[in-house]
Amino acid sequence: MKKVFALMLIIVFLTSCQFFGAKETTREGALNAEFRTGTQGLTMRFMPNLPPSRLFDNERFVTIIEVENKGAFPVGGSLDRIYLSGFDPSIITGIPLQGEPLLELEGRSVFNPTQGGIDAVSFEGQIQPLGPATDKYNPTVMATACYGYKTIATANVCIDPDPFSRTSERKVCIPQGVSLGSQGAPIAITDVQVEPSPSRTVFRIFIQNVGGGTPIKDLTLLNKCSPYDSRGLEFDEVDYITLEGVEVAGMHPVCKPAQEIRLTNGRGTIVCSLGNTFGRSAAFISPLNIVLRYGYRQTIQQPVEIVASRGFN
Amino acid sequence: MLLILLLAGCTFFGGKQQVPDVNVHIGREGLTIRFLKDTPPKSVYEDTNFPLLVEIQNKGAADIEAGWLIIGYEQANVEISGETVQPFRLLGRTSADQIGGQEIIDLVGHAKKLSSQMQRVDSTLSVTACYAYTTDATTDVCIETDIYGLAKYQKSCKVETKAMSGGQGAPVGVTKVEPKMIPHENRDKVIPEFTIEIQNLGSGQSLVPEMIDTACSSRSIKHEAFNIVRVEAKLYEYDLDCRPKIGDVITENIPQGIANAGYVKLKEKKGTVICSLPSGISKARGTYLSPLRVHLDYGYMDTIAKQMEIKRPAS
Repeated sequence: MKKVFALMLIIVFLTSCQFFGAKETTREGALNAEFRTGTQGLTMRFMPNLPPSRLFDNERFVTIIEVENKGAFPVGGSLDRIYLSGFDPSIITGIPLQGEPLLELEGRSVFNPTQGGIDAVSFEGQIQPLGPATDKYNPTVMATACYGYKTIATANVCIDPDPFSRTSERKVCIPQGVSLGSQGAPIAITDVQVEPSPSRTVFRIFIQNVGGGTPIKDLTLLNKCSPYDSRGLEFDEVDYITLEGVEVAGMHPVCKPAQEIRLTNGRGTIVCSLGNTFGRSAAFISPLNIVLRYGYRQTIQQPVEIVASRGFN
Repeated sequence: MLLILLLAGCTFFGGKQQVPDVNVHIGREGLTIRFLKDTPPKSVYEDTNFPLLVEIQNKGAADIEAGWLIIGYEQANVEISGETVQPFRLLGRTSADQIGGQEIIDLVGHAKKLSSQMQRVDSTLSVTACYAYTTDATTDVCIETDIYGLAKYQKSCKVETKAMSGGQGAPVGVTKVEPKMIPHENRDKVIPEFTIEIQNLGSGQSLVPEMIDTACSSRSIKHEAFNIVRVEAKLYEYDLDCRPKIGDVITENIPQGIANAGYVKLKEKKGTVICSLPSGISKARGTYLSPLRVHLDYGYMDTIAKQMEIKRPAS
């Protein structure tokens, strides 16, 4: 009996250790989990059967779009909106041309690295009669999201103020390129190349549009992102992003382009030069922090068939 | 047994069955005319009677409210008892009646005695139908308000030519629609313009609708009145203005029946009209798909003929 009791005590003791120990590991893992990963910012999808694939005229038209922030930056600014278009506004009436505002959606974070905010945006309208000789109408309903976003990337780079030293001292690191992948945003900083020289260190930062949508030069242009804007975004207002800041070793290198970076075929490059004024010749590793700011436009489509109901009245 | 019932129930409730659509606005036929078999026969003896049965059927989508059937024959060789000019009225095909109205005209003919020098003669019998008909063609067209493609946004459709083969349930049909967006003098608007190609797909002749009564009552009309079709077009709620107008295609002084309508002269059975919306569409409507409805009005005349031999009995 005593042996059994002792055995049970040991089992309970071991189980509790495992239990609390695992929790510690889970907490540590959570804090260390990378949340700045992925190529998406905001994602949208039409809720099933909203709208249905087939409708009759003289019916209500209801569309609900599920919106999820899969990136690492919050959305929901005053200019962030979703629009519904693609149909004749005389046939499907009541859909606001100014769109619906996007509510605040938190991005993934250190406390919630796997899930960002989710919301549903609904549009309600009315389908008008198709007319005496029109049996069917087949528009493609399009949802367009226009929102502001940021890409924040950090790359640990090696800075060697004396790359061509004649002595054969061992160095902490050797300046070389860093591959970054994606950072939980539709615009990614994919690589950073480091070119050392005695007077300066040059960083070549490679940018790519990986989200499938269209970057917009400035957040103030988000109004023009609407599919109903009479002028729309012009060719020099899309495929541009803004460099908000670059910092390394506590300093701000001089970058070109300084602010607006043009993406050609979805790719762009920034060249930043940092003068070697560190007062030391030893190589060291320092985080290179890059922040990009831009508007972004994404669309999804859903075909709909509207059938005249006059034969059934 | 239980298993079979269960499976059958699953199929019944689980299957997503859709009621099939019935589209009556397809096909190239309007009114069809045919002699019934051996009526008239290929050969008859002189001074005898023979049956003459004609079947007419409305295989198109429009109703024929006031059509005329005219029997043609050589009076020297044949007599027809009964009305040789008959009115008829036939409903078109609908989703409920996919066959269309039909009627059989029942007449009796008499082959006259041949002159003494003749042993046989060939005589032609014809049936001409003359009626007013309409065609309704609908297609979705893209209204793209960004004419030069300068505005950089994804569009839900693109402006492209629509081919419409197979007819719309009538002998005259729309075969092609070519949309174009033209700048309006107001920078915030565009003018949608459509070049609409029309073709006579049947075996008969069309004629200007304003002259149907004259033509069908066997009064003579000018040859220029033939092969003309009146065209109206609508972009959902907007009435389009079509041209050329009637004065551009016919010299006879016929008033323009409908102000916005255009008139097309078919040459070798084809012709085009241009329809546009001069008031323009606001660019603030974005780019979208809209139904374009083309309505054709015309008279139609079609004839069938059959040869019959009248012979003297061998004696």
